[in-house]
Amino acid sequence: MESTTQKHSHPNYMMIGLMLVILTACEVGVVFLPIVQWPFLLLFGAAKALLIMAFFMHLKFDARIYVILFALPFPLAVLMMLIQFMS
Amino acid sequence: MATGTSSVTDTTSHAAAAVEHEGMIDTRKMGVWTFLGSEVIFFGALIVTYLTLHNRPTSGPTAHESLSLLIPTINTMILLISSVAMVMGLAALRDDNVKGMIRWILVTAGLGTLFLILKGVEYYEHSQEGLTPAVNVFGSVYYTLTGFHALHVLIGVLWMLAAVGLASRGRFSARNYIPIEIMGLYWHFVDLVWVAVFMVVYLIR
Repeated sequence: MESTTQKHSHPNYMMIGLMLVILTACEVGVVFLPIVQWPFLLLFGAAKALLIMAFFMHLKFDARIYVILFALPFPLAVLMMLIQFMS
Repeated sequence: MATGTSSVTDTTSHAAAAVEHEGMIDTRKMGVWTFLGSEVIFFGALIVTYLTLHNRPTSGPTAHESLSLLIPTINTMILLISSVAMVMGLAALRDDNVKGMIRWILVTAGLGTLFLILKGVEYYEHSQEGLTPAVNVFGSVYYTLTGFHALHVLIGVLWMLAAVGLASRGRFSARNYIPIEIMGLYWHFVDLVWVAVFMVVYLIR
């Protein structure tokens, strides 16, 4: 087995995990509040998705082509949802 | 810029080609990102189908009557923590700590298995309350969406167990970590899909 003495620097994954858990707790908490819930749920859900994609999937640090490949289908998914909501 | 690996034939040069710096392109990662893009369409279609059909007036249990938050919330925490374990495993491998990587990947596989067990408990409770895939439209779209996600979790767990077997035979190192990174990308995507499913199915009702 080859060895290396070089240590790579990594983001603080534990802190990101903690933020994701807190955001999930906020999502669940919102459900019990007597307010319009969906904007908050969308906000918290989007924040969680961005954290996962940026840090766990390394899109913040990786080549832009990966972002493009992954992002290309999203407009189609959003279009499907818009059609569903309008129908 | 592009560093295609298809022409690489011997093990040494293959391992060298696997050492990719952030910002450089690897054909295997291109492939997996393209696959994940197709999965966005697949799960996007399932989620839109669920949104379209789950509140159609039919007889039998409805989403409001059938779904509780406890198990799905625990399962959300489990998958999020499993993603942390997966990325810690990759970080350990990149630091050439193969044993540490194996430990973290086993933790991830264990959490994935726990998710599946709790999903099974949830399905059992649903069936006791009369919610089956065939009972009404909600049952069909609910089991289709969450069932396909659970299938992806199962595939991820099996993939991790295979990777641990290969890692224990010395197949991965700090110079050859891309296969584990690709497995991690798949697992984080499964987590990402659950973030959407949790919101659409259990929170926005």
